[in-house]
Amino acid sequence: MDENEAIGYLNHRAAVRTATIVGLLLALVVSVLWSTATGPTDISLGQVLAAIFSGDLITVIMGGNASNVINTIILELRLPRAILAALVGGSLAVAGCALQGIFRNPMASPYVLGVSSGAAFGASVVIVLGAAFLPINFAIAISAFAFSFITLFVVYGSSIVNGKVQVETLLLAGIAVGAFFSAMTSFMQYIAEEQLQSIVLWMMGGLWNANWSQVMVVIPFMVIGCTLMLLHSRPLNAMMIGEEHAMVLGVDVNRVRSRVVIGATLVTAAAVSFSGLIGFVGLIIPHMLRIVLGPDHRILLPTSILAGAVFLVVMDMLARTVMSPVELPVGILTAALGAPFFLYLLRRRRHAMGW
Amino acid sequence: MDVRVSDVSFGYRDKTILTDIGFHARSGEIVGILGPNGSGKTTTLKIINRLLKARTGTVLLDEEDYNDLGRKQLAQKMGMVPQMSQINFPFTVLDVVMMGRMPSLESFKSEGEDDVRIVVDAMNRTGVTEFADREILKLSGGERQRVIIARALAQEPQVLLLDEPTNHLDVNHQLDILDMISCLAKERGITVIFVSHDLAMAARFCDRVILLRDSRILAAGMVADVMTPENIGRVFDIEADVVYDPRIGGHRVTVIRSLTSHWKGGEGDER
Repeated sequence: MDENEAIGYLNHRAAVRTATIVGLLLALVVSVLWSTATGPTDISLGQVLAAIFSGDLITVIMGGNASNVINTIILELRLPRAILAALVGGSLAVAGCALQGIFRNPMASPYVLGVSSGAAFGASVVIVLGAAFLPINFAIAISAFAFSFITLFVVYGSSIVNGKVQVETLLLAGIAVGAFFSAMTSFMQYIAEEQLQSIVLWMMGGLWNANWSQVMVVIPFMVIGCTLMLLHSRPLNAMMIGEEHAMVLGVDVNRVRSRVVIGATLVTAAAVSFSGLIGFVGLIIPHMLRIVLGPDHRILLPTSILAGAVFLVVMDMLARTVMSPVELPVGILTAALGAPFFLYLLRRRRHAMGW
Repeated sequence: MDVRVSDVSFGYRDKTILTDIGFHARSGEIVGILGPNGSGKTTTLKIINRLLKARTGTVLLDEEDYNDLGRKQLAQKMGMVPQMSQINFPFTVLDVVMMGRMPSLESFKSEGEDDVRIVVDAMNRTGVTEFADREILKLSGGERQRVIIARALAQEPQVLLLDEPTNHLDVNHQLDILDMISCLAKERGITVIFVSHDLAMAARFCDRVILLRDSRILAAGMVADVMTPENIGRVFDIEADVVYDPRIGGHRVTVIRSLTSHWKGGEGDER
């Protein structure tokens, strides 16, 4: 391979990657529109587009009312839900991808640091004890978010030895702190009365209450968290070769690791605050993409966001429709459909993942 | 680039790994660090690249304290080939060598044509160009080692640190790589510091050597002065002979026998 061939090879790969991203973007737009058109009330794609391009969209986002019933269903119920599904799915997938890379551990997921257990405890406390000043759903979200971060700091803090983060200690501390909060959550469930069902539903994960204000709250966390992760995609690649190799190549390993972990926790915490615990997205999407696209985080991270988004939008649409008029918690679907598919991938293409 | 190591000590808790290490490596020189396993060779190299922090002592690069440099700035001046480690992920050879350009690139900036030129040149020098688009997982140990050496060259370092660079390599590639590194050192004035337990290769290719034993420097200086049968005997517990061999344009070490062998071969096999 001479210089020109190398440039040609890299250009070709860059073109393939751009096409992949454009394709996924299109898939995301299509899935959001399709999901918005799907539901108990028959709505056509044309009506969806008309509603989105009408003045009603801004009005509804700002908290006003749509001008007719169809637009109300589209803009106040279905569209924010599809968009929230996209944000949550993208968040969980990209956080999983980044954490698997940074810990060089295929089982790492947004929940591995105990964040999910912390969030579940935060949510159940508010569900059982109630909220004083805030609307209950927002209080649940804030508490879940806060406990996600409390968990992260306890786990991260206890794994720093001599100024260095020990990866094995970190993962074990995550399990330990997670077990502690699971016990606390069980206790809340035990003392709960009629709120028990709310806790269980929250932990199953679902997007029932989606609205624009949730979308608006999640977006800034997602932007900051994703930027933190995407900024470090090249150092992440070097760290996959080995920590020492990364240091030799000028990577401040501890700094990259803490920033990526904070970024992943930001997006995960924001996502689970409103959606509850939706499992398996952070595991299946990144591994699937690794099989197809290889180990380079410069393409894996952005495609994880998009593919995770498409996946959860479609799953949420199924959750709303398969047993209609009864709605399934989407967390049940992602795991029930994801796990067998994942097993299939493991059997067939394990070598391509590198683990 | 001048590398000046002074009074460096290192250890973990109450275990001493290095005591009062000091030496000076000049631009264009090849300095070998030799010693038995556990004598502190690799630790010395890691301290020079600040992968480990010395307990006491200083490392100066062109008379400037290297602690004043950020990790990335240090990587712009200093390349390193760490000891072979396992690579589990299917990066292509080109990707891995391209990582050598990381220290010179901003986070979101992609590699330009200059970077590609540097990378292709580095791959040519270590003879890995023909597998540029292959996955590194599918290469042999020796081929991988040459890829990592190419990556270090792609850093365009002024100081090149090598930890057992010729391990895993076939003999012809050992010679090729060391010849190439000698040329590069003279051509670009790169300071090369390499750790080895291969006496023959070190005697042949180094300008100067440092002999380590039990965490201290036992002798240091020009190959002809330091690699004497007495010194080699004290460091490695062997009887050896060193002669200048005009055929290889360097010193040739002949290992005669071990001075610690407990097994007396010959009369009856008692294994």
